Amino acid sequence: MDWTKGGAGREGDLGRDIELARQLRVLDPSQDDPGYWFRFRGWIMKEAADELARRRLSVDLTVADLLESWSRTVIPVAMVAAIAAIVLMRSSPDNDPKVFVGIGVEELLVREIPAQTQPVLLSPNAAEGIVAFALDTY
Amino acid sequence: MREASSEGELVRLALKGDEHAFGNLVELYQRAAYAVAYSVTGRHEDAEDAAQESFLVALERLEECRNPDRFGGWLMTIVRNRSKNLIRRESLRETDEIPLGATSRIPTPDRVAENKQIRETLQGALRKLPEVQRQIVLLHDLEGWKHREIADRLGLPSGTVRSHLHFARKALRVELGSSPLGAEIQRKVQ
Repeated sequence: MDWTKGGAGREGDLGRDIELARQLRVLDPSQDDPGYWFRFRGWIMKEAADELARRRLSVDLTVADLLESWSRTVIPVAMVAAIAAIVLMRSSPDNDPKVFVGIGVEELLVREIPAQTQPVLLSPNAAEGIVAFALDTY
Repeated sequence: MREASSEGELVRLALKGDEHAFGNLVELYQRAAYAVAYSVTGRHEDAEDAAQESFLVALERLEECRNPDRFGGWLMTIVRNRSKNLIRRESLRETDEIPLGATSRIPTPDRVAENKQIRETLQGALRKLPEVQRQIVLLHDLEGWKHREIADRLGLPSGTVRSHLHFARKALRVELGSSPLGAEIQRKVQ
């Protein structure tokens, strides 16, 4: 056969050249080794295992991290802010900031303390209880 | 098998570490990757190394594949670059050339010996072709890729692919026809 003109197996210049394909098939490693491509792929998959595992872990961590970050930061901060807001609202008689400022430190110090005068506190009746007991002991 | 949508989906799954999806991508392109690597290196061992390493590099850099539906073209670029780098390294090392097919894992001595001679003749003929023509003729006539697929994967106009294929075949026929082993090759392959 004249190699310069191609063979009967040719589908034409632009189709697949069957004759040439048969010749080139000798270059296919699986011609001498039928399991070649199976092992070829197996080697790649073995070497890629770590990277694939890393990617799977990365995807899992992304979801977990998102939830964790919400539970660790956003939710506590939101709760603290809410509690602080409630406390502030209850501690002030109204929402006027001037009134709140007007209460001042002095009023806060005497709030909840019974309004008793100094003589009453120093009277003999006031010596009962712990103070009286202490006197008996010593 | 090489539909763009399924290819893109495989890439998206492989990005999440889906072993089955990546395995399918390997299966889809392993032969083409080897053919492209072989067209650059001209040696079985180098082509094997370059093609296999290219899949691993592709997996590591999968985020850089901007269009997952065109994974094949992106992979072939990696294969070509890896193959060229490998040749550069090899030439720096100045190692002795290893005969083609010498490390087949399950050798069949008689057949390997016969095929070795044929391969060397084909290898010599292929070496005389420009690299792009080697890639095209191997992808088309060995792997059975269509002109459009080759054009898409190699980033060439379809007309250029057809033109390269025409000249590559013509040159190969001349080379093989002038070789003393031409008749022998013909006998073996039939």
